[in-house]
Amino acid sequence: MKQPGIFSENQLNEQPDELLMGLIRHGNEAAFEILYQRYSLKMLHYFHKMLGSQEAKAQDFLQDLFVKIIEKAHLFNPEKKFSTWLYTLAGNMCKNEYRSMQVRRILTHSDEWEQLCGKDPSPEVLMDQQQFEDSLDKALRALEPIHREVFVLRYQQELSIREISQIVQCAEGTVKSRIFYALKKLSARLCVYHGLIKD
Amino acid sequence: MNKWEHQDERDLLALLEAKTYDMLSREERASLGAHISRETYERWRRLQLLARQSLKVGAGAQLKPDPTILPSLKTLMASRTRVKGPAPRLTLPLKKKPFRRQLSVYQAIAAAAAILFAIHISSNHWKQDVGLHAYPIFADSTSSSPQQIMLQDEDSVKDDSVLRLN
Repeated sequence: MKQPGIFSENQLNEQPDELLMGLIRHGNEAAFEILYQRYSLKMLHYFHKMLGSQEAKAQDFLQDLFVKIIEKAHLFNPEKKFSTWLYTLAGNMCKNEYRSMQVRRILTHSDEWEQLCGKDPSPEVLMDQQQFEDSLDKALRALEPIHREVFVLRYQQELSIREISQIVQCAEGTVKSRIFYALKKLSARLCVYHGLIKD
Repeated sequence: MNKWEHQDERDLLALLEAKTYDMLSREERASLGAHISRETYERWRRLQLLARQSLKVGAGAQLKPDPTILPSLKTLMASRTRVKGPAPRLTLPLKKKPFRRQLSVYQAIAAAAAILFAIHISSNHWKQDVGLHAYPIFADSTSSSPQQIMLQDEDSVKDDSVLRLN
């Protein structure tokens, strides 16, 4: 591996994540900044969806995630893909949060679904994209964490099934199965949008 | 979840992401037909497209990383670098010097002196100190000539004492 300080800023921009991590291990701030620019927005959206659309919490988690990157850089194996490692770290942070806050219990006792699946939604509600997004957020929050995780990784982060299987450490078939299950659940829960979904 | 779903939903997901119902081949439709209606298939497909569009990073443009995060992270990184000092050298540890090179001249002289002293101790003089020359067995002059004495190592103690007595 090349030693820090031998790349210009432009050259650093073109380097793969794995090499940048090697430089970060040696305290290279420029490499860290580039990695932050590459992933901060994605990871913020990931945390936002995984933690129930709480922006402040998502921002905190984003900061904590990058603190981990600084502190645990020596644990990264450069032979493996950086993004897989990053999403694994982020996923573990979310799981810890679910455990500590018992988010699942709070969400499953919510009565929002009754409102969401009311009999007579207005056409305005049905057609409002923002409304759909809010409803999708709520529907995602009600999913089991393992289903929510793969769904967000697939449809928000647009990772391949293989990458997701490495992140969640299970077989590709299991990932597909979980995504499909999530899709089916969401379809049932977003019943008021069947008209919209039907196109 | 029934057996069919467990086995085929994995393939169904790939179809949902790639094809509309009309794009499915006859075989694909036949495999789905008995279990999923056209309406259900299209609804699921539409949902995953809407979800993808809705969830896509950047769709919610208002959501951006807090601008204070990066400077604080850089400060943390700088402080860690200062504490840890420069990056460790990526060289192998120095090999141990050979034993000879580790000895100074004075140590070599001292060692040689010690060896000579030990030889001296083990030579003739110690016998006088312990008085072995007083015993007749060591005083047997017929056992060997002075020339033989010079050549015999093992019997040198005995014969040397004879020489001295003579």
